[in-house]
Amino acid sequence: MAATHELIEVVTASGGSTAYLEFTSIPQTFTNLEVVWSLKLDSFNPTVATQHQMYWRVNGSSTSSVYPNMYRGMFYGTQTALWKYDSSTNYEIQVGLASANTPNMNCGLLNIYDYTSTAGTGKSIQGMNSCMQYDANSYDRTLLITSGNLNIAEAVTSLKLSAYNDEVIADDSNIRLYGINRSA
Amino acid sequence: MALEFIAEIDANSVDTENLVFSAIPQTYESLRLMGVGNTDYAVAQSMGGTFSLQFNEETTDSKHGFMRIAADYYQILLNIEGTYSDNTAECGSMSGTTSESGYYPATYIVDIYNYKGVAATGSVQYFARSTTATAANQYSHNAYYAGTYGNGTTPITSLQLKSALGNWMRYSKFSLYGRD
Repeated sequence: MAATHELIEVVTASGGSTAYLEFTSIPQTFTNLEVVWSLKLDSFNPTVATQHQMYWRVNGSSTSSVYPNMYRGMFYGTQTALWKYDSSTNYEIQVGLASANTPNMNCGLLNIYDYTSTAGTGKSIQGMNSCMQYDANSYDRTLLITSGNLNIAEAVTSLKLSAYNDEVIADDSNIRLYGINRSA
Repeated sequence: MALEFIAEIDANSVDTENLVFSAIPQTYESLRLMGVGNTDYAVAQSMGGTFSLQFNEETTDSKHGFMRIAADYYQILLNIEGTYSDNTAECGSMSGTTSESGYYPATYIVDIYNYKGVAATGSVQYFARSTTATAANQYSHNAYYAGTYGNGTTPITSLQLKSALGNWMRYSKFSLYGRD
């Protein structure tokens, strides 16, 4: 198959009560996946960094060893803070998320490599995301680079995104799934 | 094809301070800018050059903002936790003309989101990566930027790429892509 980059599916929050966004039945015909998002919370206004986290799970797995990950960047960071977090046991891939009281959505992308592999290791993840207002040092200010691996002996067939404490995701938030083929 | 080529601009015919993408299609959900570039200015070490964005070619309305984490040849640099209400938004650096002999363009990837001015999603956002390495490593850098322009519900239809010190050197070249 020729090298390609195709939109597979878009999932959008609606109805004012979206607790999660999910891709199910991900086609197994690509080499990599790319998820692009535009997200904010519906009514929750976090005041500490950890409450801005969002959680990605694959294939419905909540096994901690599946999700070694780390991130670096500014997350409520100050000028002298080099925020760095890492974990080999968490089951989340942390990304920033805009608060309900910001006018802007948090945007970013996540690449999952070799997602069809059934080997226990080797499905690498890279992500980056940000959010800021042009005129304010706001709580939602975020600049993060994330990396991880999916240590699961299954191909990735579903991908689910939820917020801290299952807070409601604002309407019009969306995640977009693309398939990428590296072969020529 | 989800990631489509839109246009290319370069400084091959004449050195110029500003390169502009105009008439940006409103048919995509996000954009990706990729390029290589350098300035003809003799910048200082430690990320002396500055590559900035000006959305809709706005230069006076004080609605650009950005933040940055970076390292240069010598050290991890102090975070820029937020520069607000400015007329430009930084998204990269370059080595200039005084680096070790040779031409060392920086490479840039800038992902641009929510550029169509939709009230529900808010103002345009971007995430940028900028990196270069020179022969003796004296003008090298690696930087990540996040930024915005307060366009509100006004669509982004043009994008000006500014070399804040000096002109874009010949062979600087940028391509714009759209994701559906």
